[in-house]
Amino acid sequence: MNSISPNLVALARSGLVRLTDVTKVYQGGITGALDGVSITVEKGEFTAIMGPSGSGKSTMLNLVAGLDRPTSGTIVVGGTDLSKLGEAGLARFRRDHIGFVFQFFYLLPNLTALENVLIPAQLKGNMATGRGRELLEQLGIPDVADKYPARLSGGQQQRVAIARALINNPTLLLADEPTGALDTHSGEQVMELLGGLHRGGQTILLVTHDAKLATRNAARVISVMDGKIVDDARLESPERAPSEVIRVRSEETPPAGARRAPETK
Amino acid sequence: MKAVVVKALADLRRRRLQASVIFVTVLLAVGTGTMALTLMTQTRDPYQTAFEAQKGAHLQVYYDGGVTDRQLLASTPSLIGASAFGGPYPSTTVEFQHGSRKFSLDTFGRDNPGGDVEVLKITSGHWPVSDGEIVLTRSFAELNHISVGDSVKVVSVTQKPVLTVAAEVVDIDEGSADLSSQHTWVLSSAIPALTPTTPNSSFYLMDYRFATDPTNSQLAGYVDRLKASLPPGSISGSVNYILIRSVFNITNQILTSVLLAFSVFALAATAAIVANLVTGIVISSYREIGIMKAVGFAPREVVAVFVLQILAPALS
Repeated sequence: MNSISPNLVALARSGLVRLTDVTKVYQGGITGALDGVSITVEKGEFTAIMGPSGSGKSTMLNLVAGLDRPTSGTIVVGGTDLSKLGEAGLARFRRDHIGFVFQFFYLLPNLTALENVLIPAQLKGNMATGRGRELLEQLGIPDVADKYPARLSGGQQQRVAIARALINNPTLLLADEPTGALDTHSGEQVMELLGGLHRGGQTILLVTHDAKLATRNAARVISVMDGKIVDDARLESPERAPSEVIRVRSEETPPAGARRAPETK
Repeated sequence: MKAVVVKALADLRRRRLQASVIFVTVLLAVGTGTMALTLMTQTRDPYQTAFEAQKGAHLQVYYDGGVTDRQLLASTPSLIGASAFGGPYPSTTVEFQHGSRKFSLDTFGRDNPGGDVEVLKITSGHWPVSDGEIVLTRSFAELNHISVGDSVKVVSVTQKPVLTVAAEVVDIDEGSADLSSQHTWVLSSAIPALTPTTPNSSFYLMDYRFATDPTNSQLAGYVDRLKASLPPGSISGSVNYILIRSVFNITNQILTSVLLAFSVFALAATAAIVANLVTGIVISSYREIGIMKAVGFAPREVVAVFVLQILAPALS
């Protein structure tokens, strides 16, 4: 939600994003992509979801964005139970509450950078040209406004994608491997941008398999493996526990050293 | 809506070839359809138009020349309440030879092409001025490659006279040469020399016209009334305008059916081409559709983007 909600206190108590016993089995799939996942993300948190390929982390992000529906369980975002929304309702929900940054940017190739940024605002009925240019400037790419995505570098495209995700002041920013297609330098710049947004109060849910990037910026790291949450660590200092989190990727048991978050339901 | 228009126009700019194909295809289909509809409208009931212009006969009755005579036939229009009539025209069946081909045609003695019923429209040449001249229908002349000035030899009488084609006419009271038998005309004075001496070779034609277009049953009633009022065997045959009209319309129906079929084919081809293009565009845009949904496009807005891409060139 963009404005202060009268239910803010209640939301803060119950979490901005709440997944309860969520299972996702893809059609024809024998094993589930997600298997009874329950997590709560509070407003203002920067949460990283980590796990190897095929662990279900992107599925979780797609479910939170309402791009896909769970096989069972409930997903509540900003007080809205997504299972109660139809396709049009989900579209409205996404444009009002969600900003999405993808690994491969996914800019619309036939639109200029500025047009890409403005599309979500125009869908809401706002022109927002000024804010679009302002965002591009804040992200350090004011001169690419009239260029098509094909003429931009990967880093520039991802910044445009971030500007597009932010144009409607989303309640929740979802980022799916936002540095996965970028070189190290561009990746770090993007993560710095996300960190800055978080410091400004933006709630961010980041999917990554890069433990260093996750722990450097996120205050909470949720590790997923085979569709289940195997660890949920709140890091007091981002510099403290990268190795422990990384270990989750290859070990059967959760790391013992990380401070476990309380079970949220 | 603004987002839908922006996206659709941006895609159109990048898909100029597809847009051009849709534009040209729809243009051609619409052109074909318009032409077909125009022709169908313009050719609607051309028979009726010509029938009125040439004062066509609602009923043509053939009388046996051995049983009836001119005086008797002069009373027939009043028997059936005809508002106008033509004839009696003395007639006989004549066999002609032109080159190596022979034709058997009904020949009528008539001194002018005008009158109150069955006006013959001369399209070339002149009405006969001597017994040695004959008039053919244009339809028959064209079908058999006979021109004004050509000679035809009458082989059905002993003298075998040679006649010169004086004119070609259009007769609304008979079908085209490829669908029905044809009439020819000579001066009334020329008929005796062309009539064989065999029995039942002489007859008269009477054309009747009524104030309003009679129905089939009314026409049959008129013929029955004539049969009842005249000596037995007087009437050797009759033809009505409804039969002639149906023969006349066969050609038009074929023409309009073909045009209609072409229009339907054109529209079907257009639909297939556009559907093929749309399918291609949608398949190649699967990822974009996902992106659009992710940034907040509702399903119907996604559909609207593609519909607009098709409609814009189609309607322009």
